[in-house]
Amino acid sequence: MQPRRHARVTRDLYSFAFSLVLFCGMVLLLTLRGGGAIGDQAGSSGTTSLAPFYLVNLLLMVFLGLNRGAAIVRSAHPRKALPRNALMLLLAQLLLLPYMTFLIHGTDGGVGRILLLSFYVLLTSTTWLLLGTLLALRRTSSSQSLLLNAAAVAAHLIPALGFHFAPPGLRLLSLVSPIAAISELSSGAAIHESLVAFLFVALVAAVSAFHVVRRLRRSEDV
Amino acid sequence: MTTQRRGQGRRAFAWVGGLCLLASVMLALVPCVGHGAPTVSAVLGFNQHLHEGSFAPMRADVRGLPSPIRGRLILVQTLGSGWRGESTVTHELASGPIENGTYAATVPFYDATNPVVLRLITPDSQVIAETRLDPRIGRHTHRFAVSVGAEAPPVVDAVPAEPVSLSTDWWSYEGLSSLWVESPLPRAAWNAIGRWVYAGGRLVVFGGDNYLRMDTPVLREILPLETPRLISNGTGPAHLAGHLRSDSTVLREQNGTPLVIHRTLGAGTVTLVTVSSRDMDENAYGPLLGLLQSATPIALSRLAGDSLSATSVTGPRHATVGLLVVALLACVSLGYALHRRQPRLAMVIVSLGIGFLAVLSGFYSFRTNQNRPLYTCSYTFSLEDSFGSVRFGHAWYSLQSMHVALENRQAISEPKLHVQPGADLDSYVTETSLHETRLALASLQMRTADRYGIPASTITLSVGEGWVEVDSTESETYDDAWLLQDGRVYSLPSIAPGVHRHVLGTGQPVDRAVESMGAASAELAPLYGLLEETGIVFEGTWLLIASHRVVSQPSEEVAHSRSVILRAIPGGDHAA
Repeated sequence: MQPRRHARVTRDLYSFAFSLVLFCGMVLLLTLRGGGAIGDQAGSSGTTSLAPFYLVNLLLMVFLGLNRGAAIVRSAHPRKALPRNALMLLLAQLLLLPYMTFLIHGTDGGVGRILLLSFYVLLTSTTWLLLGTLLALRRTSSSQSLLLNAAAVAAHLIPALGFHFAPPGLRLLSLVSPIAAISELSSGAAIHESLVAFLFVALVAAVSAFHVVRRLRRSEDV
Repeated sequence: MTTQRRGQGRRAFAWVGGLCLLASVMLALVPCVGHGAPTVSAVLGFNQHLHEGSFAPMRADVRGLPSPIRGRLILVQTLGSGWRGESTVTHELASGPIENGTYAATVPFYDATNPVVLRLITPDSQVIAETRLDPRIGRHTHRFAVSVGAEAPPVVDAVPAEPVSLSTDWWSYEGLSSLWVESPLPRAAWNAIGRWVYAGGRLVVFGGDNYLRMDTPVLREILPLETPRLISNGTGPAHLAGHLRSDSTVLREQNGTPLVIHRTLGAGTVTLVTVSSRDMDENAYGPLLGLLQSATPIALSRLAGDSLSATSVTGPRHATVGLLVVALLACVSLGYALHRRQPRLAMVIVSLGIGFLAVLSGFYSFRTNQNRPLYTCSYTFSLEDSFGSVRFGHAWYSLQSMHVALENRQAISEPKLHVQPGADLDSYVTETSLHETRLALASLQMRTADRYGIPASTITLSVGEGWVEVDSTESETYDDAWLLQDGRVYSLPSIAPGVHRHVLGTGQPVDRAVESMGAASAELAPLYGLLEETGIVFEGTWLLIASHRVVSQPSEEVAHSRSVILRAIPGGDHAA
């Protein structure tokens, strides 16, 4: 009988966790609104805002998703590795729990908004785990792969921001970009805005999951 | 031929008669058609003239309603523009059953560059009738003069107004530099004008033939003459004569009789021109015109804002958050170090560490911050006299985007927002109903507002030789209290609910008292400076200053609330 291995959390993941805690902590410190006289604070923009914290969190988690997606393809049993790596994303996000409990009282977000934002980050990173798997399955060279990943992430983050300047009806489409979505969700988005942000990511995740499972099954059969 | 002409005449007569009948029927139907289309109209300010940033009266007319309806009559003002940011300020003029008639109100006007919209709406916000008004026509950026039935000299450039347009709210005259009256007014309007004068207004009253119709006990109380009587001897114009009050001075005489008499009343002045304005030579106004500069209005919102600016906000320390980051990094590093030999233990240690730090940071954040989002400060200045007035200055500062509600009470105006120059106007959304005003507060933005009203005494002050008895029916205790009279300050221990007698002692001059008071002087000095500047507190006036602070529990919404009251009591033994 093969001994049970507990090394599912790899040393790479610890390195990443270190970066995640460090960078998110730095953003928290930089945007922290401390005590002091109201006259010195009034009108200042130095608020403990949720948006910068969760934007950095999202970017790091997207990179982790891409990284884990490539790891799935490299593993001996990719289909089994898929849920395990998704769980790692959850564990990585849970590392930020001390920051989140701080933010609940430190900002005007409250528990609901913190949970919503954390869930959005987790959903987006899971989507990129699946997209990362699909991109890794193309078996391109490492330099090409790097460029492809960067282009794909940029395509998700930036172009949709242009809809912000569109007529009111089309402006909702800017929430396809996680940057706009995080910004809106952190300042208290309306229900229909939250729905647009979540539904787009969920839709991409569902389509990617379908393709990933089909292609992994095919490659394992081969 | 004649028969033919007669026939034509009959036909023409029949046509004319028929047309007349048709016209009569249509005219009779007009009111019925009118009932089908309700209309609203309004007169803003004094004959459409208003001062931007001040309260002004308004009258709204509702017509064409077949029967009373349940609904609301609202006035919507727009502040700012697309590039400065834009907000709406809504005032409810009437609510409940609305019927045809006139609805009077006093509202603050903020931005006369934008149209004002008057709407009659149903409870489910369906618009029944609407009219857009352009306040730019009579917009004044400086206070302006108004004349009611008087011919003011051209140099004053007074706006003529009807007696019916004069409000019974004294704060509706806030935007006027002077008021010229030679017309009978209702007693309530005279009362409001008297309060406005006491608070800093400039009133010019004309005698002459019209005085007999104008004469009321309230007017007699504010005129510079005691027992005024009209004298008409046939040789010259009818003029008013009587005993000069001790605080009055004659500015100009004509043929040995006073023509222009001036009196200081509170922070304002009353000038009596003893003849009719129509009998007045333009040059005779000379000595009067220099005295018509309007008084500096007391803006307590400025004091409240300054006081709130000096208040400290609690918040987390950067060093503590830095420690949290370091502790988390240490936890992850420990996991990394243990991972090669004992991966399970590493996972357990990291999980326990994360959980422990999460609980700790939650407690810390809860204690230091937060859940204390709102900071408020209010100042109240109450002048106790027959023409007394009360002013409130409010300041709010919030750590979060939120709404605050302020109760609207009878005989007290709704809050008038102080629009900060260069402020982001998007956050100035305000809704005023008959019962409360809801203000939107943006995160980390201070908002200030002023309110005016008629005083309702809750603290009674009896001053004797070397002692003072304070009877307070208020629920809270004022921790710091001082009495001021004729430049001397007497410190009181505190003002608690109930009746308490205190020994006054010798007191100290204001300058020395401010030096010896330490922290408390920070409060007293600007207050005294402001009151001196306005001249509302005059010789012999007792001034009570009391301060009250509340720091609520973290679970409560308001974190820090403080109120300062000032009561000016002319003479000695008076209610404050």
